[in-house]
Amino acid sequence: MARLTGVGRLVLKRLLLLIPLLLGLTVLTFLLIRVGGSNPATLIVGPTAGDAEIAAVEEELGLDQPVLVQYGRYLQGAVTGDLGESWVTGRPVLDELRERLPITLELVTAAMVVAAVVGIAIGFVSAMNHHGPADQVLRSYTLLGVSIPVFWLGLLLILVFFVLAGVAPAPTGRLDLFTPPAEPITHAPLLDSLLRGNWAAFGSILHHMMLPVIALSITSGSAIAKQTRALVLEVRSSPRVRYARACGLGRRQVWGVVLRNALPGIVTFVAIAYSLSLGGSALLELIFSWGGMGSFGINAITRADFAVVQAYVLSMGVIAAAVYLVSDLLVAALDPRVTL
Amino acid sequence: MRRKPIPLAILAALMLMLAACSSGTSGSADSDSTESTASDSAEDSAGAEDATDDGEEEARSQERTLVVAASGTPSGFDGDIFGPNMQPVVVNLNEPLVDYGVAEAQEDGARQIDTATIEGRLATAWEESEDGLTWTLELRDDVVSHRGNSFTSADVVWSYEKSKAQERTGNFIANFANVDTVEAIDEYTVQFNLSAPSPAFLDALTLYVPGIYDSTAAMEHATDEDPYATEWLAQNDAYFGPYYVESNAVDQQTVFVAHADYYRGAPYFERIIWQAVPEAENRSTLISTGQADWMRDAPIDQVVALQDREGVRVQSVTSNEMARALMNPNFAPWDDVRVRQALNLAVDHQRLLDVVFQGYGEIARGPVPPVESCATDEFWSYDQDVERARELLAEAGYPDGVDAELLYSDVRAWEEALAIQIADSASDAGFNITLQRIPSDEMTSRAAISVRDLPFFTFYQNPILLDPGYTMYLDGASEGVSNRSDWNNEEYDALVIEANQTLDADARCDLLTQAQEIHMADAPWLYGVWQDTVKVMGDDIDGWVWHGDQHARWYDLERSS
Repeated sequence: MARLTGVGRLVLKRLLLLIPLLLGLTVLTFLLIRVGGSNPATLIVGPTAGDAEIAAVEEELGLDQPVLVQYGRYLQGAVTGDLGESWVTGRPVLDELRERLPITLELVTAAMVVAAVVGIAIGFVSAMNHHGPADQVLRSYTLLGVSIPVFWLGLLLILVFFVLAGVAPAPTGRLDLFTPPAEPITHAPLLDSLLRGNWAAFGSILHHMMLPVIALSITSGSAIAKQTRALVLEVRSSPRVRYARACGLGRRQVWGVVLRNALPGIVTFVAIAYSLSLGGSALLELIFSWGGMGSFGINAITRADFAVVQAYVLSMGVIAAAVYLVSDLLVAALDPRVTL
Repeated sequence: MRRKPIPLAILAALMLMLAACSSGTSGSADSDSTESTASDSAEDSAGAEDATDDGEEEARSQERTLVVAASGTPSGFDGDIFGPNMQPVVVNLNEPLVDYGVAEAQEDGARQIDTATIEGRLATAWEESEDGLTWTLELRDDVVSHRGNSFTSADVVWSYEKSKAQERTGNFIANFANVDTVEAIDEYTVQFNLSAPSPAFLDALTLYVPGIYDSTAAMEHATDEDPYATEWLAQNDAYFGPYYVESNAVDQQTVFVAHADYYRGAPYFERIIWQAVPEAENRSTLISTGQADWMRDAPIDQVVALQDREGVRVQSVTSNEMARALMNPNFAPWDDVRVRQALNLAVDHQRLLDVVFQGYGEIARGPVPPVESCATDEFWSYDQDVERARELLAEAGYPDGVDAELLYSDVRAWEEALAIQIADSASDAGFNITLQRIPSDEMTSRAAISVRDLPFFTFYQNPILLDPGYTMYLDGASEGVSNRSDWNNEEYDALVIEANQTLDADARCDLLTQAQEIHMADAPWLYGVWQDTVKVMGDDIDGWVWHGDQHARWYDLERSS
């Protein structure tokens, strides 16, 4: 019961902390995107518009008002769930987020599951064979993995597995050209195709996820592996592990103790890697024509789609906060010394 | 302790699933064959025939499907609204009242419109009043939209009223053509009332703006606040053209299908898959591996890489888009005409063509695209002459050269390469040009008529209406909305305005020729290159026709056997 109260307290504290965090994010984003000389009105009206048409659209969008007034209106809308409209698509930004966020979350989550499993395994094996041949090989791999930019790796994978080997699908998004998508339920394409029993779409999406997941899991997984190795090596030489050895525990049992003690640190790092991957996936989405949040955000920036940029940053902030909260709860569950 | 098998089991299951997914139909066929018995042979035989029929049907369907690899999906379907990837699809949904004829094919098979010939589309005949103030158009009586509504004069009236009320591109074009009101004389006759005679009236009707909408369908979505259903039209199509939207997955894929009752007959391609592939490198890969039939927005380096590739066809036509740099005379040193002339003399224009565009284009020796009537290069005097450029700079008070910052963006893919070549080429004459890249949205915003605070910058010129009076007014007149460098010359303005009210073609050309002379002498731009419209397609795709808006009409295209 006391534990539950602790969890509740942590969640409440984080939710309260979220308010100034999001407020700060909105102020920063709102001001930064208006610092440049971009004016969405001139983009909306097109190249043949005159002064009067531009001024009319500025008035319609409220861009003729002082920045503080604009921010006040934005904030007022945001607290009531109205994040504005995208001028490019003409749709409410909240609807766009609802449709696109699951697409990106599904891809990044799949990649991070692979990255975490492979990364932890590599890091652990590497540490177990400290300075051995396996350690040298795996360290070289992880060094390469963290050094390669994910977008370049994506292009390389397309070249090798699609163009040369022909085993991967064309980088045309989430589905084959002639495969219709499943009717959306959650807007996460793989999950929706599973829930609808649309196996053609399910297979096609899995096939298309292969390369972006590999790319993201190599870069993130390498970072996780390096961190895991360092943590395991540190724990391995700690007094509690020496004590376990002195007590006569077997080799496997000792490594079990090591892993259990290293796990809280690894979980925290996976959470960091997850939130970083959300941002890092933007270019990967462009390369694989994935059409999720990343490409949505990048396009919005280049098109001065202010409402979308603001919503994009805000949603990334909320997700990052949620991921850190979950990781803290996991750490508390794994490490009895941590009190909430 | 016995948890090890679980990850292995999951892995095995995933592999099985992937294998099943990738094996597709062949997997099922194998499975069926292992379970078949003699008594099933008749059913098997029927099944095999069905499978053959299905296979043939699928092959035919794929043959009649055009896969377009584009940088993104269209942001909407209303031609009046300016948005990414919209115009290239709207020209295939909308049916104009009239259109240009088609000229003879070039050597490479590419064809282009013949601006001297106007052909009927939704209109079958047209007549101008003696005073040039009214045009009466007879309309077809056999046109039905894909939504099942018959086309009548009410649709034309409604469409022009909608575009005028919306005050966007369509309104601009209608105003330029001096269209005051449009009225229905009877069900299939419509009259355009002009505020002044317009020599470009019929040319304006060839455009996709103002579009001709299925007003019956649109009005079903009108509200008191939105009487022309502009919100609905922004995301839905209601036209009379050869194609319509079947589905639109934003940033993924838009599918268009042929309108079965299209009055000119069914198009060859029954289905267009417009696939969003943001990376040019990937679009290039798709076209070269045969996964796509048409590549949009091909950067010139990709064109060069693809032009000799097996299975790929590259066709090009010199377009009406100029790659150029603009000098704003409100800022020093560009306020001195001698400096502007000196820059034009300092730069090696041939190098711009050869290096930036790999020869795909021609040197712009005037402000009017060669494809338009009255275009002339007789006032060109800017072949590279470094000594003369130095002299002009000295006369202007810059004997030690000029420092300038050239702003560029990625509104067009060529801008950076052009800026680099200009800076390098002009340095010998004493121009010390530094380069500054700014975001494309900032460039567009600052180059808009309401701001125009860029001293020296790259920006395209691309008039969609192929009329020299339109081009020269739009890009050069002090009130022209695309006069991005705020150049102002009263004599030029007067000539162009007079030309746009002159119906006699020769007299009009005389006026516009004089205006071109003034433009060239005053040199508000660094005249660059009329770049080619370059289309990259599968080598089995025929029929492309160049249009002034540079967008392909899918109706023109076929797949050769």
